[in-house]
Parts: sequence; structure tokens; C-alpha cells
Amino acid sequence: MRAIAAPSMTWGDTHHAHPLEILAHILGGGTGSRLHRALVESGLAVNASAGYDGETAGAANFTIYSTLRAPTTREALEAAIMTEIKKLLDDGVTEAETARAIRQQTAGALLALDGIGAAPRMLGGTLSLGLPIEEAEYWPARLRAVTQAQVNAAARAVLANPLATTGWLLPA
Amino acid sequence: MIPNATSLADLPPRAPFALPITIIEEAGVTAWLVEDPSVPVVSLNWSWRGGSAFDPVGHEGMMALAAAMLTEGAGDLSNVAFADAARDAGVSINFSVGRDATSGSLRALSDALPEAIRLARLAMTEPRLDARDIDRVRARAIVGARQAIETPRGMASRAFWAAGFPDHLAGRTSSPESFAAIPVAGLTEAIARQFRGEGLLIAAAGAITAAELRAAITALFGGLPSGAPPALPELPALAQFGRQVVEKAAPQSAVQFGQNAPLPTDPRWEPTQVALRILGGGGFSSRLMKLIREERGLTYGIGAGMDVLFGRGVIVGQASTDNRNAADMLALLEQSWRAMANDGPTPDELAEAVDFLNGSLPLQFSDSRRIAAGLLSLMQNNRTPAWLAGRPARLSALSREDVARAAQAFGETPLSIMVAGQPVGL
Repeated sequence: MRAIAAPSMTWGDTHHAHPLEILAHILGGGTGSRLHRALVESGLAVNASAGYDGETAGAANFTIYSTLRAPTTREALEAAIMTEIKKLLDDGVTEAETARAIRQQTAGALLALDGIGAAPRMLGGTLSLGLPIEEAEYWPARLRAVTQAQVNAAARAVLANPLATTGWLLPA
Repeated sequence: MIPNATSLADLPPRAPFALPITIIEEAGVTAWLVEDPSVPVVSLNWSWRGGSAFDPVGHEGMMALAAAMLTEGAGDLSNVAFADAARDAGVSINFSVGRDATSGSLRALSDALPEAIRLARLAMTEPRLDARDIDRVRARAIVGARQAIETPRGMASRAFWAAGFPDHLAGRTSSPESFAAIPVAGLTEAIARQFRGEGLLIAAAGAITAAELRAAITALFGGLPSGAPPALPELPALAQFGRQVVEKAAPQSAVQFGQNAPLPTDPRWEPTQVALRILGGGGFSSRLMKLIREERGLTYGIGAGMDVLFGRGVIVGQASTDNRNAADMLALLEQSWRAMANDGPTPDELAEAVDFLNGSLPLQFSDSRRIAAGLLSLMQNNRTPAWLAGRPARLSALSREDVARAAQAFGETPLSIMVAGQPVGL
């Protein structure tokens, strides 16, 4: 697990927050993401994901998580992750990747209406951070407005950050 | 403005629980429907008897691996194309395998329901089972199985079921070795045996009419081979194996304990549920939590509840404690268990438990996924809509003596207790 300090919706360059959600999806949002292809489909790891939640008071974390698959070594797995990050920083994300991430992140937004828990939780979470209620209400529209250039700018601002920590859980 | 409710009297009266269920017969299968057009979402849950019960000896986990492969590419869709199609439409499709049943579920916005049905049907009828993908999913399952037995909790659970049902399928658990040994041909066989056009239970909830559900059933299951999965072998009573210990180098001991429960059709089922709620139900208010956690500080959590396996009731509980305190904790557990068997609940405990069970019943049906899953589990236990509707009144009518009589069974056989760790003094 690698965690990198990142701006949130309340801290640092807050305009990176929504693009970072899109970046996490492109890099490690499950099947079809860059890390899934490079680490899981290739047989180096059993899983790989990236995560980011900008709805945080103070600094947020951009995280990268993977479980290696024998006989891959830790060094080889970390090197493969760094290769993907370097590729992303050098070449940027594509327009198609951005569109796909936006589509998939917002596709089920209305599902939040199913049940009595999700909507109050979203509104309460937003308001408790001192953010205006519009942040929750227009979240799908704001995510859809994210551009390829904004994702690349957010990637450069965060993935090159030296404030990163990597931890391994090893067998006892 | 939020009303300032400072006493119960200020709250509006609690509406009586009601869940209108429509029963639909279509193409030889039965479906329960709770229609609610207020939100444009549909959830469908379905299941067959089977699950890991049919896994051959040495190939435990075969059905689970097969079910995991269904969403890893189907028809002309690769695993990535399948996942993209579902996520582009905001559709979730899941298959899960239990000890005695395999189930599927989907949830979609109404607009996306046809796409959800197309994908789920494709998954069940034309899974690709590409060698490369099997390899990858098998590696993930092996790691998962290894992680599960690395903890005292995982070891206690595994050993509990093995000792509790030594001669039955319910006693077998998958392992890294069994996942590694499963032949590819076994996956095809497992799918063919399990995913049939008959023997299906279906539950639906949300913005779907009875006519739409009929059409959905045909579209979803029409392509499956006829016939039902084979019958399951009857489950024997849980073996009384006393106290057993599995050595595991760890600072904490994990405990899993159990006892036979009445059959779900037995009139003692509900009073037993109430007695268990009082003795070891969730939260901090149970007798076991008060005595063993609050008063003695021997555990962070201890609890017990009833499960239905192969149509039979089983009481299963869990706890963990410092190795040095294991003997003390088990003595208190057995003492509390006997006290409930001998004396039953107090009137206050009974009132509080019934109030909790009745008050929390609607919360089990608060969104379309929970409603569909709740209906399905009622169907799996051979309940009727009338049984559900009558439950609050039946629970309210229980007397202290009814519950005390049912709880006597707790004292008729000793608890079977499995401990994993390095417990002192056992």
C-alpha cells in the first residue's frame, strides 16, 4: 500500500479534487484500469487498485494498493507500479480514458436514491466539512465537467509528490 | 425545521409494519415482488439449492471458483469488455456461493434493466472460462484462502465446521490446496449442475411491475437447461465435540461455539430467537456482552445467533480473548448459557428484545437490495408472506414462560467449542 499526500476539497489546490477522482479510476478503478492491466492481467499481482476521496477535512490521500502473486518479488511489484506512474506522467491520460472514467463514475449516481441512508450521508458529509450543499447536489455534473488536461495537471501535482509512504504487510 | 423531540410522546406514532408482497408464477418458477415505483431502481435476487455442497472431496471451492468466473467474460465480451458494459450502465451483477445455495443478484436503474438482464443471462449461459482468466481468478482465490486461515478466527471457524459436521459436506472448507487442485473441466460441470431453469427462487423489488417481472424472468432464465439442481443430503445434528483447541501462534484466542437449534418450522423457532437476542444478540446490551466485556473486561466482542443450513437450524457464536483469559471467558460463557436455560429471561429483558426485533424489522427492508435479499431468504426458509406479516404480533404475544421453555434446550446438550490460538488452562 502506497499513500501519497494529496489536495482535498478543503485543503491545498482544491481544484485538483474532482480530477483526482477521475485519475484514481483511470489508474486503478478495477477491471480495465491501467494498474489492473499492468499488474493483474500480466500475472504479477492478484489485485491492484488506486483510491482517492477528496471529501476530507484537511489533506487527503491518494492510495495505491496491490497484493503480489508468487513468485513476484516486492521489488518487482514496486518497479512495475513506478513504471505505470512514470508512463502516466510522461504521456498523460487519453481523452477516451477520461470519458470512460467519467461515464462509469457517474453512471449509477441516481442509485443513491435507493434507500434512506445514502442521500442523508452524502449531504451530511458535505455539510460537515463546511462545503456548500451544491457540492453533493451537482457532484455528477461537476465530475462530467472534468477535462483530460485537468486530470494530467492533477496527476503531475500528486503522483510526483515526494511525500509518499509505502507499507508492506508480510506473512508472520 | 427539525421537530424538537425530547420525549417519546413528541414522536409520531410508529406505523404498523407492512410489506405488500405479490407472488408470481412464471415458466415454472415462483417469484416474490415488492413493487415500489417511487425510485427508478430495480433489484433482482435469485438462488438455487447447491452452492459448495456439490464440491467433490479435494476440490472444495469448485463452485465458488466457477461462480467467480461468470463475470470474467461471457459470450463475445472479454473480462474487461464485460466489466465495462456493466459499469458504463451503472449496473451491478454478483454471484455468490454459500454452503447450501448459489445465488445471483443484480441492481440497475430502470433504464438500464434490459442491459443488466442481457449481461446476467450471458454470464450464466455463455461464460467464456478462458484459461488465462481462470489462472488469474484461481490465484486470487488461493491468496484469499491463505489469508482466511492465517488468523485465529479463520482457523477456529474452519475447525469448528469440520468437527461439527465430520461426515457431511457442510464440514468441508476450501483451502489453498483444494483451489489449486480444481480441474478446469470441473468448472464447466459445476456450472451445468447449478445454473438450471428449475428449482429457482426469485425475489424482486423496486420500479418493476408484475408484467415486467414476468418478462424479465423469461429473458434472464429462458436460456438455462431444464431441470433443477440435485437434492441436498440432509444435515445431521451438530456433533457434540466438547472443547477443542487448534494451536496457532497468536496473542489472542479466537472462539467459535455452537449448538443445535430448532427446525425453522418448529414453533420454538421464534422464542429461541428472542432468547438468543437477550443472551448474545448484537450491540452492547446482551447478557454475554455485559458480563464478559463490561464487567470483566475479557473481550471486545462476544455474540451468538441462529443460522439455517441445509434447512436445519444451528446456533453459532463467536468471541475472542487474550490467551491467558480463555479459560475464564469460556467458564462465564457456559455459566450464562446455563442460566438462560434454567431461568429464562426477565420480563424486562423480554419486553426490550421484542421491542427491538419488531422495531428493527422495517430496517431490514429499507432499500431495493435489502428487500430483494430479505424476500429471498424468507423463500429459502419456506416462509410465506403471511408469516412475515404476522411476525410482529406473534413476537408481542410471547410470554416469559414461552421463551423460558424454548431456552431450556440450551441446557440439554453442552456447547461445542472450538478455540484457535494458544489458550492457557484449557
